[in-house]
Amino acid sequence: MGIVSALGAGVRAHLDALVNARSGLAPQMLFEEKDKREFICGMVPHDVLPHTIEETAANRASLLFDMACKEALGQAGIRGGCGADVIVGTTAGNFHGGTLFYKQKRSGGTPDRNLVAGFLPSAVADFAASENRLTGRRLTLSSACASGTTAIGHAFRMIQDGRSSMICAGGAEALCPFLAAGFNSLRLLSRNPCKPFDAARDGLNLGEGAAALVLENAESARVRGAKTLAYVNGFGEALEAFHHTKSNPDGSGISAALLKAIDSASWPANSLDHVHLHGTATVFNDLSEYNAVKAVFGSRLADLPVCSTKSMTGHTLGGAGAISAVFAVLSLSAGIVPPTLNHQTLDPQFAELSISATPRARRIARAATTSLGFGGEVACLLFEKAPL
Amino acid sequence: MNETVGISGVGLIGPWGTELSSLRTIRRPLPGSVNLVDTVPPVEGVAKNDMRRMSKLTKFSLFAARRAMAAANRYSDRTGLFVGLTHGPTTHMVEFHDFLFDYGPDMASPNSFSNGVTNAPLSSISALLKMTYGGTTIMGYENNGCNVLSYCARAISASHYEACLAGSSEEYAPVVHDAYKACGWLGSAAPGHLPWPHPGQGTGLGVSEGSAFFVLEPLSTFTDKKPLCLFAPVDLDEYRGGADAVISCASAGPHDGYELAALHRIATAGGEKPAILFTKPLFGETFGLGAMLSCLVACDMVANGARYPAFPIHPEIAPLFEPQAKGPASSVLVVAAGRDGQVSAGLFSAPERFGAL
Repeated sequence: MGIVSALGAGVRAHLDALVNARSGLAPQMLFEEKDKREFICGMVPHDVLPHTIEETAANRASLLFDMACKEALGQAGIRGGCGADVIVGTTAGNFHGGTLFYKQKRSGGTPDRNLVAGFLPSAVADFAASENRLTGRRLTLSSACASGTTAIGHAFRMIQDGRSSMICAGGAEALCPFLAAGFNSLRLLSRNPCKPFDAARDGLNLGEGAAALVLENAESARVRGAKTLAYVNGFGEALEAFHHTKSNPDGSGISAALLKAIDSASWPANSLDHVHLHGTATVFNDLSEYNAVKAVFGSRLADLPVCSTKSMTGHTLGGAGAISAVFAVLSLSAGIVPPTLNHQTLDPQFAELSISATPRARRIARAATTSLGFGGEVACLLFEKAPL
Repeated sequence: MNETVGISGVGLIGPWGTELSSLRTIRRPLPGSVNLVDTVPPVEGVAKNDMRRMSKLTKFSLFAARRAMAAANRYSDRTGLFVGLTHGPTTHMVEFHDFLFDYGPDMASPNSFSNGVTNAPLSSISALLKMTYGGTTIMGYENNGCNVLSYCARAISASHYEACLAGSSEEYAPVVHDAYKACGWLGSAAPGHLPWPHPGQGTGLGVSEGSAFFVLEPLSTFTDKKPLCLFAPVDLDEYRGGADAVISCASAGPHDGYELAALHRIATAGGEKPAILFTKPLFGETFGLGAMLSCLVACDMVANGARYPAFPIHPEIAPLFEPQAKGPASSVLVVAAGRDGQVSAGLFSAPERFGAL
């Protein structure tokens, strides 16, 4: 697996951040010229990927996903030129390229035609496939902030159904003016470091990043001599049919997706050891998620450690589900429940939630991740620890 | 695994109308023309105020999706919802950027943002039709419509869904048109490729907009009625010929080289020489929707014995195909290539073949 976020590049950097409760969030000037103002964001560090150069702005999501793919393929021992498929989830892809194109057009100049080729979401998968010489199919899925989880879930099904033997799957998102101004217009951004599930939570911090997992049939991985990091055992999805931007506070969509994932794995719900929640720190998201896990796990919830890592990476939108997946696999292998940074006072509504601002050592054999997106798109994944 | 599914309902909207039969009467657009939907008829269950806030893309999608589900007259709680797009709700994104650039972030419209995100059509359909089982928006290029149908057929065959509502939509936006013109892919000056819709008049295709949706169900559910037609995804490497006609989604775009290679592969697959039909000279370029519209044409041909006009064919492939079908087609292969080189194909068969499966 591979990952890049505000915490840096690479699985090692993220494990280090998880163990040491380090955040990648920092003040960042968003918007341009006269409208510049400071927000707390999870930008990928400048030394990992410069963010003031226009040529990286126009295809930033592609560059981020490619970095994650390269690390994942390297760890899996996959050389270029193989027939692996690529499935990526993203909400806006390289949309900054579209913004730049439109800006050039509005100002009366001749727009740069090179921007046209890259700004569609599908370009992210194309770039990774081309750079890593992966000759299989390319699929781009857009389920808003559940995109990364959806991409991994569909990849899991394709492997399970025998429709593919190996897939590099994940999610990617780059911060761009469209997304920043959009979330600002919805009054969802906090001016402070976000506090998932805290009584004082007041919104999310945007972030950017990408993560990729190489999924393959367990038997073929064994034959290939590859080290299996974890098993993907279940995928569940649901549509809330509720609202364009708000999640249903009763959590029914999330609980339906979680139960479907558990059912697809043929696991009893009480066999889960950890849930990595979406946890954006908005009032509605956190309430919906709490109600969902309460409905699924009942009285056992108080003993089920949960977390949200949005306070470390920011909300990476289409990349978030894939980043959560990497964190979940790290939790299985390292035996650590990630910290939910900035969490100080548990919202009394969430009295039965086992959450902590510090990392907790636990034996974790089975973990779930949850993702929620605009339009009520919900997706969940189940992971199981691989034998040493 | 047999991946054949039945089509139990279709819905569509475009400048040519809202009925399958309206596709047969399309008048060939002029080179470089822009053909738009005048008005979207009211969609049952959607308030006028809500319709006004929606992008054209979402309105098209809602209309066609509702029509398809009504035609199928069947509802399963386990129906998946898949929408194939190339560009998303572009006019709302442009509106959002105009406010952002002119008045700053505090004046940027939350409505334009929430209705401008890529999955807005899917979430609106989900809310209208109370579809809660699952699904996603598949982004892709010129082959996307056919790709989405194939993806759904395979997912149904693997029992992930009991049925799927699958469609594709495209709205016209001047900024997109200008972007492609800047690349030389659209407009009356664009070079001619496989179909020659306008010999001697300039060769570029016009552009258009609309939406098309299908309801796909497993064959096992058709105990009390016949499907409109059958659909099976096709891997061209394994295709051994046999279709009465081939529909190609070639136009004047960068994907035509891949389309040409695919047509060569089909022509040498064996069997009798099939007739060939190019649909994009009829509809104009509609990107991912074009492949879905081609699937509608194929469905109309095998389900209703419909005939569509032929166009002059590029000399390079003319010897490989019959220029026109000799009679009604009982099987039609749709092939669509994207600008990224990915090729999707699917075989539509007459429902009379149902008993033989």
